[in-house]
Amino acid sequence: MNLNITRRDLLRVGAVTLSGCPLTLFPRNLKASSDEKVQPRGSADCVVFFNLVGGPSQMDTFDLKESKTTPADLDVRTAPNGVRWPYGLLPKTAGVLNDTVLVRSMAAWDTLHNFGQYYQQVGHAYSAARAAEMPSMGAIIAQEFRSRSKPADFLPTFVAMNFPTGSVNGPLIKEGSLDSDTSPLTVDTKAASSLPFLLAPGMEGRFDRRMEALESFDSMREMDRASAPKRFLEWEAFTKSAQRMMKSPEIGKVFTLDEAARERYGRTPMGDACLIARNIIQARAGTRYILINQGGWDHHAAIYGKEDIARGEDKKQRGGLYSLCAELDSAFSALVTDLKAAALLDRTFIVCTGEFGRTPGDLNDAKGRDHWPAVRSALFAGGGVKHPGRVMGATDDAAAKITRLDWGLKRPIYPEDVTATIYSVLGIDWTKKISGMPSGRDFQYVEPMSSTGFIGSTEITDLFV
Amino acid sequence: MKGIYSSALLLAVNLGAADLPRRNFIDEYVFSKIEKDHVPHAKLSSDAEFLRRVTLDLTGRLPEPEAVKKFLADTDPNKRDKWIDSLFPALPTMGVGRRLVEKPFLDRWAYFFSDLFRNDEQLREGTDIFSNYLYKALELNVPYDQTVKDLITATALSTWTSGPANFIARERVMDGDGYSVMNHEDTCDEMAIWTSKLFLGVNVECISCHDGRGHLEKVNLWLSQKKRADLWREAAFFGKTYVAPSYGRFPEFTVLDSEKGYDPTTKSTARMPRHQTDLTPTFLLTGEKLVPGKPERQAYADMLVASPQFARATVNLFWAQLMGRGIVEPVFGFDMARQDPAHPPPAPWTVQPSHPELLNALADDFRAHHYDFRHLLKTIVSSTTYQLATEMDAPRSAAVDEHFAAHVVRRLSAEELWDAISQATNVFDEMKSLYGPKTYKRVMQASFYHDYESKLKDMFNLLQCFGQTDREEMPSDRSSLVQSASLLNSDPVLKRIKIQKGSRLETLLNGNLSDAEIVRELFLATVSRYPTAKEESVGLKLLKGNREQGAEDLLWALINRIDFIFNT
Repeated sequence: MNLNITRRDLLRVGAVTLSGCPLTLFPRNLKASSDEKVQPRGSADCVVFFNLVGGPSQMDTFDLKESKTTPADLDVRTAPNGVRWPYGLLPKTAGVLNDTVLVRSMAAWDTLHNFGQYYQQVGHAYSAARAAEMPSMGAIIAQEFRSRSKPADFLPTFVAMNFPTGSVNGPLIKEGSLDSDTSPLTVDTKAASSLPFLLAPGMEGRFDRRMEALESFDSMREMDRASAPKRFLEWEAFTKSAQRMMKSPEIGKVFTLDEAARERYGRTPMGDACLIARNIIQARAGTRYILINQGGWDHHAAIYGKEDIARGEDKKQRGGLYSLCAELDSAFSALVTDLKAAALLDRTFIVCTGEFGRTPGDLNDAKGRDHWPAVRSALFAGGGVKHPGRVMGATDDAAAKITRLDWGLKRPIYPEDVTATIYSVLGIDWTKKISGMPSGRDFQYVEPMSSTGFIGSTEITDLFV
Repeated sequence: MKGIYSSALLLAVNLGAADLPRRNFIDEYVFSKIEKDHVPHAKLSSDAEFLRRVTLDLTGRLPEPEAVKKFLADTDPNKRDKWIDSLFPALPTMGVGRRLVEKPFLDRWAYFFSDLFRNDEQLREGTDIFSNYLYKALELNVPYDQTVKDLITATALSTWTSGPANFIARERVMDGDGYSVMNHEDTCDEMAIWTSKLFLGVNVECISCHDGRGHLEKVNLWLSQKKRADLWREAAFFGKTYVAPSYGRFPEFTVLDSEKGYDPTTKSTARMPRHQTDLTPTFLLTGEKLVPGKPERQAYADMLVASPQFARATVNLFWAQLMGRGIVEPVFGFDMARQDPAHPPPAPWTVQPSHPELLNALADDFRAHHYDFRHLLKTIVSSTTYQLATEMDAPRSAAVDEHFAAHVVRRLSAEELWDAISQATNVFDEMKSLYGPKTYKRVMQASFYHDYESKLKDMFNLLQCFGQTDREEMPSDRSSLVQSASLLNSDPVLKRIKIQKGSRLETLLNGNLSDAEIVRELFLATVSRYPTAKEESVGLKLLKGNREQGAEDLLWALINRIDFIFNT
């Protein structure tokens, strides 16, 4: 019995019926449903999430507070949007602040990196019983956009870059028990070699010859697909997707890094990642969610870097906030600038934040700051954001407590609200839930429950009015 | 016609797995259930399929071409059993210097236990010491219950000189700055959770934060009836244990039993406050209490290995490793209220093990053989059940997997795959241990990837991409787009394939072989079998043009074959 399945059918069939690895049980009947009480905004084609892993110090960056511990070379001046801003750390970002909404009334639930990161990436509390099955935001987005993919699409919906390895932040959260085509394309710009999607110049002919040989003794051909192991079907689908990417005439545009552009983006792994992100957005090849990760913000020690390096010298040598901000500064500002110039900013929603803030007041014994979930800040840009150049929310003199909320609800903005907003701008109904999960519990895209009770998470509508 | 064919098929199924030889008690249980439930099943695997599968499963390596040829040509009806025996290294009879001879079985399983016991960079030098300890325990075939007792009761002045002490130190929870002071009660909780999960298959992490009631009714029936205090009482077996960081050397630890006991008033770093309650050390599974005067950790270790669940969880774990699926799934998710078919749980709950009698029989056999790890593996791989083919004539339903009616394919692990590529191409990197004068060629021989992480960045990235773990969790074997792309076109893979000095391709091309012989040798070196006529013609076509390029192209295609990447 030979089911004559075409390549496209395979990808569609594969997407619906493929399950995960054989060591755990995944049911086949995941069903998404919704009560349809909300109107998703649909104001963006793509979301870029800058995940500042470790939790940046809000009082030294987005929510600057001048105190006796502020170093002089933070060069605090008034930025174009009216706020006091550390020009010694983020000068170029100051130049794009009028394209952003700066939000200072955000908070986090958790003080540990792995749990905080889990909130950042999934919009849910970590649950030991359900961690294996719960999908990240990117995977949900990939699932939602599966039906909207175009024949010309050659990039995966979910792309994740430079997630820091090591166990303190937890792993990069992927697709849980959703199908494996919702898994992120992971890109690591710190790797020495070039990304595998680019064929070396002149190799195209040889690659074709090799693929022809591989396909001509393809063991799958002889196998009846109904009885073929699902892992094989899945691998074959990935190989075909990879091949499609590599043979696409546009792929070079995405992954080849122009030297002049690299310079503008800072010529760092973060800069390269943002440049690739820009190319991905310009390619309009199916990517909807780009998670750009930057580790190193966990400044428990030496937050202002090495003191023995003369002030004013190359910031990147200084360490602490100086080097990290230098990387972020060039990359973030270049991305916003380029997207604006290409008239893509309006349809690209950008979020830039960490998993929590840092302790206010004096520095600790190691000349750093520790975790502070009560206050964190974020930059939002594009994707329908209105009146850019404004500030939402405010904190007290030490950035210890939120004093002004500015968003219509009587509580701080939590990770779930950011998640709801991201789904909303992509036109996804964030009140949806998926039933049929292995644990038996429904997975709600955004949970209304928090550790303090019913919260009723919502889109941050005030960004868009 | 079609009707006759399908009823003939049904008849063949009803005759049951009568066409399959029953090699041991495993087959009795598995085949009788297949017959009873009328589930279609695969035939016995071919010799080539069996050879590659069992060699990878037991040693993490491919069989060499010469061994494949010899095995396939061998007419001895007992050749499969003899091959299995050959994969286990002889037990040393004298104190001979180890690692003078490579023992792949030991490399592979020492690596597995290093993954399982979280032997990672947090331990620094301890990683190497711990890895060596595990290797040695396997080499001497120390009974598994003894090893488990050693791990649970380990005491040492330094984790940099004692292997088992690393098992305890790794799970410590630190207070404050995270470096200098241990949070005693959180550490006790972690030790209880950790040992219960690994050795009893019961994951009590949930009840460390809240009672089971109101939370676990749909997750785990047994645990839904347990309380936080039950966990604390088990954690109290570690109440005297103290993990002290060494002054001046980081991260070195001393593991002693010098504390006063489990104190519920201590502030937790991550959990809700505890409360005062009876904290007599009590074994969660049975309710057995500590006999006053007996050392706590020794008592816990004794109760744990004496519990029937220890053998059950252990055999299930290794059954899952070899068969692709546990008799109980997930392997660390036993629900103790659902184990006995004579006392089934209330609906809608079902008995948890798919084959409860088989599980108990395996556990009994393991116990009767003094927890002999090698015996357990050998019993499983000698069965016809393990040796069934992966392909079958019927659609592959969930029932097939649940009945073990056909073998489950698995993707080679990151380390296995990279080592297999090195072996197939005969191009190796020499790696050096960070901690001593040890060099090695296979990543499966590393104590941890910190040896090569920064020196061989591209290779490390490839391994990470294929699910290599940082040892917080077990490795992932999910597939991904980047994995496919990496085998098709990443620098490290392309470099391996190129003809170079000492490579298999160079040897073959310089060695007076016909094109057909070269094609055959490359098949033997990768997918461990001879090519079919069709496959051979594809290979010959490649070699006919530019012979060198063609050989490289053929090797590239072989490494990208599904039956290279997966263990069938």
